[in-house]
Amino acid sequence: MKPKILALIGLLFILSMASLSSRRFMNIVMNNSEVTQAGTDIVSEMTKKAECLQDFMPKKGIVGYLVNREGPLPLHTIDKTEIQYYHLTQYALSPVVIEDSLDHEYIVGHLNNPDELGDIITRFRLSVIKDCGNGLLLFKQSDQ
Amino acid sequence: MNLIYSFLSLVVPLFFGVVTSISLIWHYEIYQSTLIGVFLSIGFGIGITSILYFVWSLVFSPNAQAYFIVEFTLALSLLMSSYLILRHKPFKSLERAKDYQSLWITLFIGAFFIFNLIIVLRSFYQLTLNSPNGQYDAYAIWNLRARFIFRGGENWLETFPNTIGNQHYDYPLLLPGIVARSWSLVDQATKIIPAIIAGLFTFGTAGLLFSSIFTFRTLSQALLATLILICTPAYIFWGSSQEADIPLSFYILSTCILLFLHNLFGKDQKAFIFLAGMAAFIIGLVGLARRKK
Repeated sequence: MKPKILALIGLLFILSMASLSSRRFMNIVMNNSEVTQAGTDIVSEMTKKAECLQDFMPKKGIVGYLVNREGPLPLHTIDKTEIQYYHLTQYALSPVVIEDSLDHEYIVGHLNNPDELGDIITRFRLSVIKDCGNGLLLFKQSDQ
Repeated sequence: MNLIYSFLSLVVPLFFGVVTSISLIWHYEIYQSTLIGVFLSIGFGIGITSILYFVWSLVFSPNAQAYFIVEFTLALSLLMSSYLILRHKPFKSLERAKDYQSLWITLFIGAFFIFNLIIVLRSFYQLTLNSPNGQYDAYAIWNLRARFIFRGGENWLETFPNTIGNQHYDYPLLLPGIVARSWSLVDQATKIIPAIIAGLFTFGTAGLLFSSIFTFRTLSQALLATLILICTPAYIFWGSSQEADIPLSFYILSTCILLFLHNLFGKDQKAFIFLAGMAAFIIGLVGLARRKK
């Protein structure tokens, strides 16, 4: 086959593959949300949800964080959803810094099981300052 | 109105980039590189402004109105000095290598390119609508830093404590810097600005690839290479993610192009100094865009 015809075949191949790829990707993006890690806009949802804590929180500094009765968030052991909620909470409450520790006066709780609330309050000697519902709370250390 | 203000907030950074790169390219009479300079100016402008804002925030406060007066004055001074340097320079017409490709084939590729570019722009827009705050790392790292700087005000440095190990506080501030600066200008943490910046880097990188191949090879080759890049789904996905990967690729590509230009114009000592400096500056911006172990 002549080199010119081979080049033309190659060109047509590239053009058709590129068009198929872009067309297929657009279909996925338009019809299927699985292409986004976040799915729906959970950042805006979380920001709105966290608004109820902001009047009760310090305006700057570091606050603690817990997700369940085990205490502080051991990032290497918990599942990715919990880490994601940790980062979402941090984003929503910035510029206050959230540390995965209980060594602070204020502690933000993002409980994955709200039934554990009573147990958590007793175990870590916390008092509830604000409960936003859906597991999002602000605690204060009782002995500080 | 938000959209218009968000676009306007990025005019000065782009202006910085355009004036710097185009006037330097014209000063050294490397006219072939003008189109490259246009796309380089996106990274240059954003880089220069981000550094300027970072230094200002360290010395003063991130949300001071005085910063924007200084920035605007600097932009005007840069324009004036470029005019004074370039006003007596005769503009030479561009000498291009002859394109041996058939006009019909070039038109054929061009039609495919425009068709796919429209599809890709639509996909980018839809991805941005799906995740207006970007993907995971965007709100966990990059836009979060921008919020710390913007909302932290005078105490913004306290929001980067080195005692907490799980939040990547050592990540560089090129993207957060430009986002926080633009939020300060429009006085709200709008989602539009990080999305516009993501678009500038995504399509700027494609433009840079197109312009460099078009300058040194042929139009049809430039169209084909750019078509392959923009039709790669992962490229558009990560481009719209508002993370630092595509800005990093922009600066790596810029460095490769500038090193090639340096090789091409190496005999001209002035051009050599300018291009080597340009490459070094951009390599510095790579370090500022994304931290890699």
